[in-house]
Amino acid sequence: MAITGSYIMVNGIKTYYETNNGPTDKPTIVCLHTAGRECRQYHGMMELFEGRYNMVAFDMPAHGKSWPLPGNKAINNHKDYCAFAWAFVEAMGIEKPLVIGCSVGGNMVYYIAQHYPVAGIVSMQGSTFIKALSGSYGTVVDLLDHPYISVQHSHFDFSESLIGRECSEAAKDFILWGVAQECGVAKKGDLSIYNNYDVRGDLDKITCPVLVIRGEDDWNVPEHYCQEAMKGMVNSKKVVWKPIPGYGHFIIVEAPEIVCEAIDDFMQHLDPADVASRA
Amino acid sequence: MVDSNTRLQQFEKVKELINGPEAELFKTRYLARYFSGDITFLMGGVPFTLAFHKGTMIAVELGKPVNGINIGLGGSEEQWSDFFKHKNFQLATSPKHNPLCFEILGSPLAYRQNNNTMAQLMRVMAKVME
Repeated sequence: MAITGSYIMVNGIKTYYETNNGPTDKPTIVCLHTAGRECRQYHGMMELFEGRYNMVAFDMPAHGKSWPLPGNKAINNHKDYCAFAWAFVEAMGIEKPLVIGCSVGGNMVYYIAQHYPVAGIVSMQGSTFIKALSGSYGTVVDLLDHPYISVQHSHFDFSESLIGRECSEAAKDFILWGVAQECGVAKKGDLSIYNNYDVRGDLDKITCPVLVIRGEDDWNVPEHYCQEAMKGMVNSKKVVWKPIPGYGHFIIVEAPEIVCEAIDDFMQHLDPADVASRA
Repeated sequence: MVDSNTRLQQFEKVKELINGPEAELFKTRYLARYFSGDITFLMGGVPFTLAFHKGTMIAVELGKPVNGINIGLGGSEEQWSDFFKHKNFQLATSPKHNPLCFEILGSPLAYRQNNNTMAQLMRVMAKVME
């Protein structure tokens, strides 16, 4: 196994990242984890792509092994999230990466493609618009760092309900272990970002190739979210749609083989100039 | 429209399952062993209250608890019928997909902390009431 972990300072935050130390003759794949979790979600994909693509996954501030923001805070809006992600890319010296993300990360890649020079993006279980502040979902977010609430206990069922029917027991266990390790402050920050997201007005700014992946058992991200996003990206060089039946919200953990195969196919749509510049 | 007596009989069947073949899963994985109190379901305006002691269902009653609702969910007959078909707790409570989502009863704190227990109870209910 070629995965190694290390730290790098990003905007004054000691940031943990892992890489599979893959070849750099193709765009590096920079990975964004799901809400409240951390970069280990990409281990399966990193192992599959070992020797084929260079993958780098990092823990956002207050997640996993990365330090929080000053005052033990987490990022709570999408502009700061994406600015930090890009600061990480620059600190690592990565040029024109393929940025991939799942869940909240799958939402963020659209904003990143609108504002930063990427070779392409992969949105998994993502959307360009989320408005869920009312009703039970809003209550869930408000209670995530309440002193009477154990976030690991109270969020277990929510995460379990998002997992697809074909997911292996081992992958399911790891996803639920992720719940057991969540920090309420970090989770509340991520779901605050998730809830107030709307980048539909700038979808025509996305020019790079885009791969949209959706595990079909994910009730939280219905297909019309993906369809609306793809419809809006009128200037993208290529938009590829990959629905995956039987799997759910944590597609990178649930079905890394299928996701890697889709990304491998998608790589051919990236601008040859971006690829050639690395050789 | 399911009448109250039929529902009560169905809840008695749920009680048999939740205290029998479903008991271990309910009490361990879904953490019901920590729950003592009442769970109230409002079905088309009719309240059914299930009393628990450390994850064992000890009573089924028509009506709300006299000392107030601990935790529960309320919805129309149509909503419950829909839930029993797809058996997904979160789907039925998501305002993004169901504009007539269930109403949370009792304290949001108690509800949230016992979400797992109630969700699994509802899955067992769906087996009986679909």
